[in-house]
Amino acid sequence: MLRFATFRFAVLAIMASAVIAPIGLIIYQSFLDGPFFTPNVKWTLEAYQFVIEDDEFWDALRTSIIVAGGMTAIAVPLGVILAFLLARTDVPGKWILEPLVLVPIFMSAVVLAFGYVVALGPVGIFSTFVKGMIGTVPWSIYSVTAITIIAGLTHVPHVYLYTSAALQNLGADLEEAARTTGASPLRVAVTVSLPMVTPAVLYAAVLIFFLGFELFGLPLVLGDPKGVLVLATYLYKLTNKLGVPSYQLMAVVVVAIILIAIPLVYLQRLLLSQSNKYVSVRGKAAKRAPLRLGALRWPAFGLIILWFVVTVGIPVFGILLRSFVTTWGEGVRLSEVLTLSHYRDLVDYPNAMHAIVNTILIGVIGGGLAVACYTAVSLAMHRWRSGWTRLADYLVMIPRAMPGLVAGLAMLWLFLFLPPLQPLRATLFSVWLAYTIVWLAYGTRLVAGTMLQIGPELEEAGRSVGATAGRVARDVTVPLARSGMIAAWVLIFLIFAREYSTGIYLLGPGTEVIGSLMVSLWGTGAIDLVSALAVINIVIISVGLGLALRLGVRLHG
Amino acid sequence: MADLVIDNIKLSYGSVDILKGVSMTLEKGQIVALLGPSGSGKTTLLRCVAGLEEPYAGRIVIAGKTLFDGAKGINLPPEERGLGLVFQSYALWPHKTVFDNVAYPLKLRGVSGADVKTRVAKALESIGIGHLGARFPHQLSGGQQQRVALARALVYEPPVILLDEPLSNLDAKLREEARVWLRQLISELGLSALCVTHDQVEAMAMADRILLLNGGVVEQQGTPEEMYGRPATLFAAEFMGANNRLPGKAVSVSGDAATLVVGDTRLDGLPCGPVQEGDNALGIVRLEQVRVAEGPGPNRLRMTLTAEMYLGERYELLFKRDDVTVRIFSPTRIAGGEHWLEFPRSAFWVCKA
Ligand SMILES: Nc1ncnc2c1ncn2[C@@H]1O[C@H](COP(=O)(O)OP(=O)(O)O)[C@@H](O)[C@H]1O
Ligand SMILES: [Mg+2]
Repeated sequence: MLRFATFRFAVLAIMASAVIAPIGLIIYQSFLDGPFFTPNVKWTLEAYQFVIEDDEFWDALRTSIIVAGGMTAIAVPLGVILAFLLARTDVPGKWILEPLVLVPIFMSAVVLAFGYVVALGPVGIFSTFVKGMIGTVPWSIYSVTAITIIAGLTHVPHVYLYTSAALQNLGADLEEAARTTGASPLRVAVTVSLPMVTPAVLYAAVLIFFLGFELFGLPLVLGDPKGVLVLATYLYKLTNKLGVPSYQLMAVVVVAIILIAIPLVYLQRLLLSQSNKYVSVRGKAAKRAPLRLGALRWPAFGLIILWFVVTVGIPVFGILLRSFVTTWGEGVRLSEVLTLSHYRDLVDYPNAMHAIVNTILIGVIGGGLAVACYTAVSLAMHRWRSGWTRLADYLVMIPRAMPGLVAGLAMLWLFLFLPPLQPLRATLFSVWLAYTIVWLAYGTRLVAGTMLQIGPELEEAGRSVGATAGRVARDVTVPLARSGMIAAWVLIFLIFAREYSTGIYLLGPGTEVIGSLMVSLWGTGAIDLVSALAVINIVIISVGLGLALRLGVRLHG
Repeated sequence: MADLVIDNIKLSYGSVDILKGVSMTLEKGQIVALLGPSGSGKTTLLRCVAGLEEPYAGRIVIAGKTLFDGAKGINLPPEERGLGLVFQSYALWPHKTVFDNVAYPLKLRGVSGADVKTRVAKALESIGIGHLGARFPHQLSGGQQQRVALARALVYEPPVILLDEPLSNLDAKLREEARVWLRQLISELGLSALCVTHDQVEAMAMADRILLLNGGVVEQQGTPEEMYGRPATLFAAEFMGANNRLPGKAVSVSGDAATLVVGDTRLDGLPCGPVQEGDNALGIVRLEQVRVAEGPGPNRLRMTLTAEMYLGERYELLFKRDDVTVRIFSPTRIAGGEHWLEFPRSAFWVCKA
């Protein structure tokens, strides 16, 4: 019989190698003068020197900071306003708005980016319409400004989530106390509620800034055509920069990205523990009467809908329409260009069919297996009174600092480097492993969260009547966490189906998924196929979202 | 032979000492109550015995088997201790039926299917919930849940059963019935039990011996009569019953006698704890021990009746003199004005303030 302590250390060891091996390989590669697998590679700092002397790197870094800062400045106020409206006021249609607000989280950034191009690009569906009316298109989609605004709008739900959770935890009595002393509702919101949710808002702000550095799909689609690079797209473009595979340069850029990310991730942890402390010790969460908006009710509703239409409605409508027309441009009449041929082409294109099947497989089966892994990690760390849990905490954090693109690259190298893994490189397993590692922190928190809700005495009761720790895990903890694990499965399905960046470097025969195939096809200009694939991706995600709502899964774990 | 020996158990959370060397024994067939105010470490001590907390020093032995020995580095995991533990919250598994909850310990012990059925049925029957086997815990009342928790802890016939505030989740009326029932059940089954409670009445009603904990140390232990009738410290005296406190000065303290001067009156009593001549002291006397006397005499104090309360079976009367307040019980009303109150020497304890 396996001792539970053995299980704990085994899981810790497996997790440590899964997390440290890729990052170790990248750091190792960054100090070499050629790809790590070539004979006679030598240690050198040349790669660092090259990148540091490359103006494009500094341009990309600067753009990344501008975009990250700008989108934070847009997303935070909007997210806070949305949270206040939905959590505290009588804005109409809450039942539909609440799930709607979260939808952008589950939309693939490249799908949205493609959508913006076909809707608002120079010859986009809305652009040509506007041009027909006023003779010019008063905006440019290919610019840092556009990237920043769109990224800001699509990240509003993150801020909304943390703020509204904090608001909900805030005891009604605190606000009622302020009301009874004579403060108006607005005054209470500004002087009592807002300061108390500040730690949560701050946390969300750092999170958004951090996500800004990871941005890949949007800048790839909207920045690249005008030569605007951010860190992640700079990394992506490096592949072709020297004409030869410049592994060491890519490794250096990855190291730079991780060095920027680590303090941000650490700061997030710090803020999170602080905001938890702040909220949990205070009053009871009780039902409270919502703030009456009066005449502002419908304008508030309109504001939320407007945000949603701009963020999701326009790009989705654009891509949907584009997938059913042969061409688009000035003077095109819809009735003349309608077609189903893109979908027919898709059926005849084996890679696309593989990608669809693989995406569903990796979402459903891979998602289930990933949740099994996250469950093993959560169980191993569950109520373990030991210093080792700190190590586990930090291990889980490392992949958080690796953007998906980077993790995919690391995984590719790992599968090239380790002989026993080589035969698996061209299989879906490599993609699954990369996905699972990238989402380790998120998934583990989902599952561990449900396990923590189980009263410890239920497990202790098991021990006291004679069950070993392992038996208690099997007979008490896991059965009681089951609904949480199913919810985690649905959420991981959504996330895996949405992924595009992690699979990019792993893309090849046998490893196609919709997300990475779309990025690759977009590069070749196959916009017809891309829009049809994007629509299929949206359909898969919608099915998942519908299932989640049906099962009553909280979309924010 | 003692069933359970706890020897000098010490436990800390981080730098905070919670148990500072607790020792006790539990004889076979006895019920020992662990009594103390909230936060005194009762639950922690019980959990040490169950193996759910790890002390840093001391020894725990059950029926000759060492469960924990800080010096020898022995610490059996909970599942190897074979004790029965009833949690304050009952901790019934919500995903298992009553039957499955009670059957689980037997299945762990490899009891065959048919045997499990009969033994669970017998356990549920003996506790009066034979008809509830198919229900889930959330379909039961508090009292029924408590019985299931008990059945689950008893079904594998552990040598010692540990109960953490077993009655605290029941409402007042039910609690008194359950107290009698539990006491009866434990003696009928010939069990040895260690029972945590913060209610001294409950402790006295249920236990053969009481261990009074205060701030992680044993304040006093003994039979309920000893604990109530001959407290060893001010804390024990105050915790065990409803008391009057008379502030004064201790004079002429000897081994088994002490006198308290209140104003110009001398009240003779028994010394309690480390009291010395000249100390500021408190005279402690139970409400029911004070009686109204005919006139002046030794150990009597003249006081004024200031309030009376009707309690149903008796009256509670409030007397005052200067800054001294005394409450007494009386079967009847008495006239207002001044009265002589007598404090019996054998029930009047003089403690260092
Ligand atoms: N997990 C813990 N961490 C730190 N202190 C604790 C913990 N559990 C209990 N304590 C402290 O230990 C003391 C004894 O607690 P406990 O044994 O539960 O008291 P009782 O059951 O007598 O009310 C209390 O002061 C409590 O605050
Ligand atoms: Mg307790």
